[in-house]
Amino acid sequence: MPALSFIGVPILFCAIGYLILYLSVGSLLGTAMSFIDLAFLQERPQHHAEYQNIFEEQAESRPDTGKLKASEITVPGFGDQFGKLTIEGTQVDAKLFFGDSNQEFKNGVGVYNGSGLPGYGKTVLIGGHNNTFFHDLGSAREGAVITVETNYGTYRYEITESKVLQATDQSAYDLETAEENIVLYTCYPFDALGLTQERYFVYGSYLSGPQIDLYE
Amino acid sequence: MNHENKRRAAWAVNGIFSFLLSFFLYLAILCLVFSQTILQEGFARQILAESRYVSLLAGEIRDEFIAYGGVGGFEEAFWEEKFSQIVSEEMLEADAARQLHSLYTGTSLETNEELVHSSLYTAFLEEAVRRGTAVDADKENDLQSLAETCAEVYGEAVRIPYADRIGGLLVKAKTPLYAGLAVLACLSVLCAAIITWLNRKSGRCLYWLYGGLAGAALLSAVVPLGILFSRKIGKIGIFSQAMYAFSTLLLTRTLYAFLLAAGILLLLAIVLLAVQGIRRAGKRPPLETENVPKG
Repeated sequence: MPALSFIGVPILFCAIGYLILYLSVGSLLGTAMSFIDLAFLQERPQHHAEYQNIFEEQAESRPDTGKLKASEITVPGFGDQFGKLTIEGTQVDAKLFFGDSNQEFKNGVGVYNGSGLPGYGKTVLIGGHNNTFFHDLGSAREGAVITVETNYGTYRYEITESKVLQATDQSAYDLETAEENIVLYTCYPFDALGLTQERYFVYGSYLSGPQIDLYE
Repeated sequence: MNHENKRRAAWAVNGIFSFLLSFFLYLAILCLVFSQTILQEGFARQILAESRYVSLLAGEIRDEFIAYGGVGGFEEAFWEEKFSQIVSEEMLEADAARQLHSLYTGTSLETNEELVHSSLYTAFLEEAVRRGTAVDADKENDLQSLAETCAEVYGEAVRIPYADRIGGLLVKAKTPLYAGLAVLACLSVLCAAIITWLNRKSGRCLYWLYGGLAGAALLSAVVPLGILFSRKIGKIGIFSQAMYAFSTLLLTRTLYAFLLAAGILLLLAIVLLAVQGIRRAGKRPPLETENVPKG
């Protein structure tokens, strides 16, 4: 027996076996693999509290006027810090995240991912916890400026109104409006014990900041 | 048919049965490994313990309670004292075991969510009284609301999604797998018997049996090795650290089971080769005298 056949024969059998499997169940397997692939990421998932900060990384380029091309902007991923929010006349000074889960609220305030981002001409809905970063939201007064610095531009909004509404009140904000505006919200009362049904809303109209051209 | 053609025909027939032996053995190993790993509740329980699923889950639930509790006026210090009283590791282990049982039997089993709810409400109420807060009907509702939210978090954390539906499939898969294993084992034995009969005079049966076993070993090892080296399992998109640890360890150990089976087959194949070598070394003279036509 040629010595190579002791290696070659098993390899040949292995190749033929996989070929038979591929020909017989390959199409089914291909479909199944496509579904299975959806469950996998490009990198290992992060399970600790670290988040990607794209705000600090692009500190040099943050215009507050003009237009920006959508293709030139680094859009934040869910859980990324992409900005900072401050309110004139209050102690509100928080990191701004994309996403509104407990993880984002633990480290700052978060944009609801079903709303718009600053500069996109829509309602920007931002939430935060009343015992941490939005604890002083109640001090925000009409006419004060909300400044939202993002990785792609600096935006300013003027506070127009504050009110207390039920958490389930559908009229609290309008995500479909074509005019850029900002809505901040948190649980109310600020020092309540237990989970209340009320929320404190602060509304602001757009003052300045670069508009994003979605078609460029 | 002259001698050379007969020899080639014999090689072809032996090759086919040797290949069939390797293929049937490989399919039998697929059935055996799946039926003894992923489809076994005992295996999953072992993985649950080794992956530290319960302690990781306790940490995740605690983090969520701190987040919701903070909003409701119950800071981290409160949870440091109360969490392990309300959500003990024994309770979590019992719930995890129940959910696993649900997964492997297709039955729907309750968790301790209601118990957590009532324990939380009692703890919140006691804390409110301790702080001197007036507890009226509205305050009671707010505390109930917080207890309910935290209890829901607990329930969702311990529950395996669609456990009763997946469990139904796992239960149904066992019988066909065992039947398949039996059929494939019989077919493998049949192929081995045919190879032995075909080579009863030539003495090459061990060579062809080696080919079958080594082929099956390679078939069993290639895909698992590929998956392990690609580190694909580590990229599974599960964001619960506890479920991630459990799932990755379960999949990895299943792949190791394939490699173990491949290793055993390879060892057997090498033993057959060694025996073949020893027999040949002890045989009388060479092929030239055997090939001299008689008469």
